[in-house]
Amino acid sequence: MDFEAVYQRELPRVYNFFRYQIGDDQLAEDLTAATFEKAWRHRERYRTDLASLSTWLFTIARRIAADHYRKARTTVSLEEESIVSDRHVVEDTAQRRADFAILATLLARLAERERELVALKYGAGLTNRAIASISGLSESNVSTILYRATRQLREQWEQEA
Amino acid sequence: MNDEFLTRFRTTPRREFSAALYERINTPMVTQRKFPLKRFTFAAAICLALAAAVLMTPSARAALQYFVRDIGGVTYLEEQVPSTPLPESQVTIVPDRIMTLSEAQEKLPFEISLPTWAPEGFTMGTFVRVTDFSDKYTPVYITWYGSDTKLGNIDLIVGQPVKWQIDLDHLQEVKINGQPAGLTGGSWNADTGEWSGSDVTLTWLRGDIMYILSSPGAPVEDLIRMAESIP
Repeated sequence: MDFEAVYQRELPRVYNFFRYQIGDDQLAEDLTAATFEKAWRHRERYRTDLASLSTWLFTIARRIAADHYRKARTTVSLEEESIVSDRHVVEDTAQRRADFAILATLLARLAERERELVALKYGAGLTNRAIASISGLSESNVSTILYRATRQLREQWEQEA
Repeated sequence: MNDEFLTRFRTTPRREFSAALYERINTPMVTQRKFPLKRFTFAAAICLALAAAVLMTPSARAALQYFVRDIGGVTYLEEQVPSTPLPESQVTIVPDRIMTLSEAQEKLPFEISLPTWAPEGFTMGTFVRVTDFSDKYTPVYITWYGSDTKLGNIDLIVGQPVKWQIDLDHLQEVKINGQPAGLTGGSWNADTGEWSGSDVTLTWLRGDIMYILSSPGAPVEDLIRMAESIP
């Protein structure tokens, strides 16, 4: 395995998965690091006959995200998440960053599974088939959930804008 | 809002973060598997030290012959081992390199022959490990992962012959395709300096190359059948 090539290819995908999931760049870096460190520690468990390397990595990333939410759920309320997003807007006036802060707030309002699928699709850039493989859902289920989630995002975005 | 809008917020990770993480992962890469490597390094070091004594000093050779046994061209040595663990400062961790079997085959000066049969439930791993103990000893480790955690995995180590440090009380001779091979139960634990564990290990020579097949739980009959399936 050319580890450097794998690292260069998968790092941005995993990182953006966490950014879309969590909405915080620093936290996304921490969780991305945790994912790669865990994957590398357990690389001997990876089996090509069971999953692609990308699928395996995102399986680890999903668990790490779930652990994060489990720990954070008791300490961070939605209201606090909004404050964090607003602070980011004030600190960085770039329109794009402001837009992402709004999007992150809207993503945080989605159900956990919907948010995860949006992060896998639009953050990590995975196909519906790959997402189905990772999540254990059928491909059509993935499409349906994504359709519903993006419609909700669109409606709320228009209200926020 | 469309797909393009939703994907436009992707960004490239900071270069500092990317580089620091890469370095952090690569550093433990050469020091992990500390215990097995330590154990193996320790055994190999003693083997080489004893081998030097056997070859160079007639008196030492005479004194040690009682502790030496040969099976099928593999020399097994027994020497009193320290009863206390070696301090970390005296332990050399030899880095291993992870690669595919074909990459390993290109780098190694000997041919790797694989079993054509493995017990049910065991699947060969994607990657192998190569350890550069010296210019003359570069074993490759190949693992068959077991689905039953009680049986554990099966490890095949292929490399140049070395004299093997074991407890001779736990050594017996078996046959692999009619040729003599050593069968040992247990292994040295470098942390305690004691012979322990339930590992079963087969050791034999194929031409000039030494093969070691080991598992903590796979039946001896399966290991022998697996060894015999190497063409």
